[in-house]
Amino acid sequence: MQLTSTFKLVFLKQMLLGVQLSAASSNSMSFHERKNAIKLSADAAIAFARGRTRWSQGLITNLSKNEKNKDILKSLLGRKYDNLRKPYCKSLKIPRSKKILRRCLRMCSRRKKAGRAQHDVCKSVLAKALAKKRIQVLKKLVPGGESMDGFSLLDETLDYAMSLKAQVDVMRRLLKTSKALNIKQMKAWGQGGLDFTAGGHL
Amino acid sequence: MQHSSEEMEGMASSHPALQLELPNGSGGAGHDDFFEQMMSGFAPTAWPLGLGNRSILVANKSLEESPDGEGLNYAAPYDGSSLLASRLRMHPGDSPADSSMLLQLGGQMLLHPPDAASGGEPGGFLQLPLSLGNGGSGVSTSGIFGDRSRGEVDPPFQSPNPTEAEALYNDGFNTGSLPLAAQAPLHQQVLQHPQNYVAATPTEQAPATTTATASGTAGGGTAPPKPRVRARRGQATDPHSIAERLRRERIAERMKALQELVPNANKTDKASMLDEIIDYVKFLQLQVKVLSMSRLGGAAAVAPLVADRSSESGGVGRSGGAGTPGSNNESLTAAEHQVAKLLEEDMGSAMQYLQGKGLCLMPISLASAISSATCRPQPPPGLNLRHSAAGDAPPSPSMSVLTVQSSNAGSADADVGKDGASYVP
Repeated sequence: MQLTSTFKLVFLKQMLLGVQLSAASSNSMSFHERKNAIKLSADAAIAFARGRTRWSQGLITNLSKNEKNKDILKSLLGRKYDNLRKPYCKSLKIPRSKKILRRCLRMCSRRKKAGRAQHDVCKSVLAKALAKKRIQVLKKLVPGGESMDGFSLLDETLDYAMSLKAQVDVMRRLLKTSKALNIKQMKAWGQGGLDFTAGGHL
Repeated sequence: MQHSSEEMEGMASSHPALQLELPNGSGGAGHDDFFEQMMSGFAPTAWPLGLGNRSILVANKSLEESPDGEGLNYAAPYDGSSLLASRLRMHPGDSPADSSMLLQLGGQMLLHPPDAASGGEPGGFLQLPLSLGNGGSGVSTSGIFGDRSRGEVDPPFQSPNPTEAEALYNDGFNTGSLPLAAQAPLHQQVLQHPQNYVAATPTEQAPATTTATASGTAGGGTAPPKPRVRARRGQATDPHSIAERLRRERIAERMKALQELVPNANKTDKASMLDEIIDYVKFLQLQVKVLSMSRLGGAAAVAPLVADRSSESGGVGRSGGAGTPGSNNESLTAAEHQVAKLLEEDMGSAMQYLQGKGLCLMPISLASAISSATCRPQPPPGLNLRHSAAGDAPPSPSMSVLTVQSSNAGSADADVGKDGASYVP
């Protein structure tokens, strides 16, 4: 559903624009700089192509933390930049619920210690703790994930994973395509910007 | 199996209902006690094959649920269309042996080989109340598996209540799939589900918990007793149980969708499923990183890069130009050991380590091909670290880029591996 060719095309176009904007093709950049520039444009493009979701907003926010990237992002995303930049400020909610959860768990464990009658309750508590740990890891992975609750986190993870998959797919094809081209063409392409159309390869 | 434990409460409520429904055998009250005892002492592993769980659990889960307690999550069927959609997407992964299993289980509780009228399928039928939204289809264990070939539609929807299924599945469900054992009462049950769910009144719709006691065919009269028991439980924890079920159902729904997406997702446990998801997201992010490294300046063919590497100082070859070449002076062995150690622990950090040095992993065959292409034979290091074709020039990003590119190209179609570069362990 999400991995449509339209989505991929939009992503590709944005990414190439971004690469061009950040002058990643120049010879003057170092290895890391270039890699960062490409990654930046790729991420911005994926967020742009996806539209407005929690993770895309989180992604843009994270990218914008670096001042240098802000300008590039602004020019790349245009008016969508502000759209995407609006953060979801729900971070206040989380600490409170953590406290409650901890209290709950404490009570449960106390109850468990008192009488071992409720085996399944213990199990569920343990299971919940396990799941909680993993959810925390997931929150760190998904951009903007800290301020989401369980359900939306899973939704966003799904969305994000699909977009990442599309991103990887497009980038791989782009890589293959460019590899297939002659080195001279590569030079020309690199200097001339977006001379070639990769649409056919998608 | 946290789900199963979580679901226990939910299940317990539904089970009694199930029991009651069974025409065969369980005599109502006696079974209830037995059932509840079982539920309290439930250990996830105790269930014979999860599959039994599945079918039993009923309604809560669509059959496609992998055998496991997980299915229990679909507590609240009234999610309707979204559930339906997600269910439609899923494919049942169960083995057809369920019916026999169910029978085993059913011997005690749920299913009874019945009379199940519908097409003579054995096993009790649990209607899937779920359906609530979808117009629950009863699920007959055997029916389910038999119909699996039907395609997308959840096999579970075969049920002894074809009529209701048909009626309810107007929104695109595979209505034809339901073997008919038209059950008027069941139909009513299903229809009334959403309304009665909250009320938790002991009515025939009791299956609020979605345990549709399927035995519709034979057991037209079994409906009434079921609600009685369920209601008791339901009333006790009504808002909580409902909210709990709803929550579990939502989570299960999403996990299903994620299961489709993530490869290797045949884990039934929620925790391990989360692990898989985490690994997959990490892997994808790493791939993007690696790809962005290799795409420097638009990439280039391997050979020209290698050939031009020596003249790289001007950044001629690739449009990207040479980055800051790392120093080649360090001893190879130390780096190799370090990388080997890192590789065992965490692929990502190994890649990052290499990346920091401007190196990359590549298969030995490719390395030898490259070195022969450059006419500068060099014995490949033990770990395949290719730092330069010439061996005397400092390793440069171009080389690593090169290798990344080639490996990427080579593994372009490879599925989830560890990362973009292939390596020889």
